[in-house]
Amino acid sequence: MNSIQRAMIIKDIKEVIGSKQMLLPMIIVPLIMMLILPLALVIGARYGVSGINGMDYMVKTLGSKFNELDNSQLLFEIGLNYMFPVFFLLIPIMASSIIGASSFVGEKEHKTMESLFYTPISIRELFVAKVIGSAVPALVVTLLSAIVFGIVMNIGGLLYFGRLVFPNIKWLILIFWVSPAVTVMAIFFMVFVSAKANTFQEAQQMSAFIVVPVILLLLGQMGGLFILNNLTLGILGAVFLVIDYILMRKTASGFVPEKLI
Amino acid sequence: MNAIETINLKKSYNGNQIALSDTSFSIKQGEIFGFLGSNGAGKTTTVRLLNGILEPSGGNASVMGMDITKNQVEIHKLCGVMTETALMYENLSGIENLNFFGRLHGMSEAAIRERSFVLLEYLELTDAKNKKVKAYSTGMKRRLSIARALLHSPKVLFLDEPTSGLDPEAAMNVTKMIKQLSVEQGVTVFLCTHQLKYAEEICTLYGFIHKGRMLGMGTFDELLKQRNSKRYVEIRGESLPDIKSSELTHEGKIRITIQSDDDVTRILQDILSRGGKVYEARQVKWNLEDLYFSFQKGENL
Ligand SMILES: Nc1ncnc2c1ncn2[C@@H]1O[C@H](COP(=O)(O)OP(=O)(O)OP(=O)(O)O)[C@@H](O)[C@H]1O
Ligand SMILES: [Mg+2]
Repeated sequence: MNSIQRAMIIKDIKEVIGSKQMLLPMIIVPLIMMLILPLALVIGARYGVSGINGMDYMVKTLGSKFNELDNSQLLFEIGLNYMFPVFFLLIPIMASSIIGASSFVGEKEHKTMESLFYTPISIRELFVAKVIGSAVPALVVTLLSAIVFGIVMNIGGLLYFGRLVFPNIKWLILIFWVSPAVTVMAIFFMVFVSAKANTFQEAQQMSAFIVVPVILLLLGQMGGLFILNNLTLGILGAVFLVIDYILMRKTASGFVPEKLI
Repeated sequence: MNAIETINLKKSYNGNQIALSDTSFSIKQGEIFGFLGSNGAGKTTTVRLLNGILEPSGGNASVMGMDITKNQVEIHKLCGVMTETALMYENLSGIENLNFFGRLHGMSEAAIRERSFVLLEYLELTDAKNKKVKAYSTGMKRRLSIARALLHSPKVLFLDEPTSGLDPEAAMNVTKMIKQLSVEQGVTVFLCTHQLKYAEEICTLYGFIHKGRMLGMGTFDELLKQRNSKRYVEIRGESLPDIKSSELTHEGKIRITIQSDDDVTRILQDILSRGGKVYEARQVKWNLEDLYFSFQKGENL
C-alpha cells in the first residue's frame, strides 16, 4: 500500500465518522443486538424457557444434547451459541454495506468519483484502497461488538455456570473467520451494485439481498431446521470466501471509470 | 511539441449513438484552446477521453506525448481537470479537500500548504477555507474546483465551463489567471464553453463542435479565411428599402455581408437613390459569434 492509498483510506474513514447517517445505525444496531438483547437474555434466563416464545422447536432439537442443563442454563446456552451468532453476522454485513455504499455509490452520487479519476491513482489502486477503507471500520465495529457481547455473556456465564464462557471456539470462528469473509462479501457486493445503483439509498436497498439469507438462517435455526455448529460455521466461512473470490474477480474487472461516472 | 493530439478519436456510449465522431486535431503547447459547442455537442466527452477515463470507441489520442489509453496515471500527473461533473467532498472543508487531493497527487504537506495558500488567496476563498463545502455558494464551489485543478501546477489544464456560475468580478479574475498561466508558464489550456463572448476574450485557438463533429478549427484569422474573410456593413437609418440578403440586427440596424470597400459605396448609393435615409454606417468584422453560427449553418446545409 502506498501513501496515496493511505490518504484515500483515511479520507473514507473520516467520512464515515463525520456522517450521522452512517454512524448512527452503526452504533445503535450493534448496541441493541450485542448489548441490550444479551442483557435481556442474562436477566430473562432466570425465568426459564417459557419466558421466550418462538424457540420451542430449537429447544426440542437441542434439548436432548443438553440433558444435564437446567432450564436457565439451557436458555442461556441457546442464546449464546445459536441465536446470537446469527444476530452477530448481521453486524459486519450492515456495517460494511453502509460504508461500502457510501464509499462506492456515494462517491458516484455526489460526483466526487470523477474527481478521483483525474488524480494519479490507478483504478486498481483505487479499488484496493476503497475495499480496505470500507473493511477496516466495518471490522472495528464488529470486533467492538464482539467485545461488548463477550463481557455481557461472561457475566451470564458466571451467574449460571459459575465460569467464563466467552470466547469459545464457535465464537472465535465467527469473529475471525466468518465475519471477515462476510464483510468482504458485502463490500464486493456494493462495488458490484455501484455500477448499477445511482444513489446511496438505492444501494442500501439492494443490500437486502445479503441480509435476507442471514434472516432465513436465523428463522431456519429457530424453527429447528438445522443447527449451526463449529463445522457448519467453518464451512459457511469457506463458502463466503469462495464467493468473495468470485465477486472480486467479477467486480475488479467491472470497476471501470466509465460505469462509475 | 503538441500538447494534445487526436487521431480519428471516436466515442459512442451505447454503440449506436455517436457522442464524438472521428475527430483529429492538434494543439500546440501554450495555446488557450476554446472548444465551443452547444449542449450535448461532445465537449465533456472529449475532456474525459483525453484524460483516459473513457475508453475511445475508435482512434487514439495523446496528451503531452502520452497515449490516453495506456498512460492514464502519467497523464493525470501532468493535467489539471475541472468539469461540472467532478465535484468536491461536501462534508469536508475547502482546505481539507485541497489537502486530500494534494495527497493523491503525491504532494508533500509543505507543498500543499504553500500552493493552497496562494490559490485560496487568489480565488478569494481564504475566509471560507475552514467551512464545509456544503455551506459554499455555487460560485465558491466552482472556484474551489478550479483551485483543485491547479493545485499540482499542471502543464495542461482542462476547464469545462470554468466561469459559469461566477460573478463578473470572479470570472475576470479567473480569466486573468488562465491567461497568466498560459503566457508565463506555457500551460496549455483546453477550455470548453458555450459563452462565445468569453471565449473570444481569452482563447488563441478555436474549435467548433456540433453533435460530435468538429466543424472547424484554427486561429480566429484562419477560421475567418476559411469562411472567405467576410465583413459586414451595418446601417442605421429610416425607410430603408429592401436589400438582397440583408438581415436585421437586434439593435434594429440592417446588416449586409460585403466583400470589399466598394460594396459599401454601392449599397449606400442604392439606399439613397431609393429614398432611404442613412444616419450611420460602419464596417464590422465578423466576431466569434458570427463565425460560430456560420460554421453551424454550414453544417446544417
Ligand atoms: N454517461 C453517458 N452515457 C450515455 N450518453 C452520454 C453520457 N454522457 C454524455 N452522453 C451523450 O453524449 C453526447 C455528448 O455529451 P457531452 O456531455 O460530451 O456534451 P457537452 O458538449 O459537454 O454538453 P454540455 O454543454 O451540455 O455540457 C450527448 O448526446 C450526451 O447525451
Ligand atoms: Mg459538458
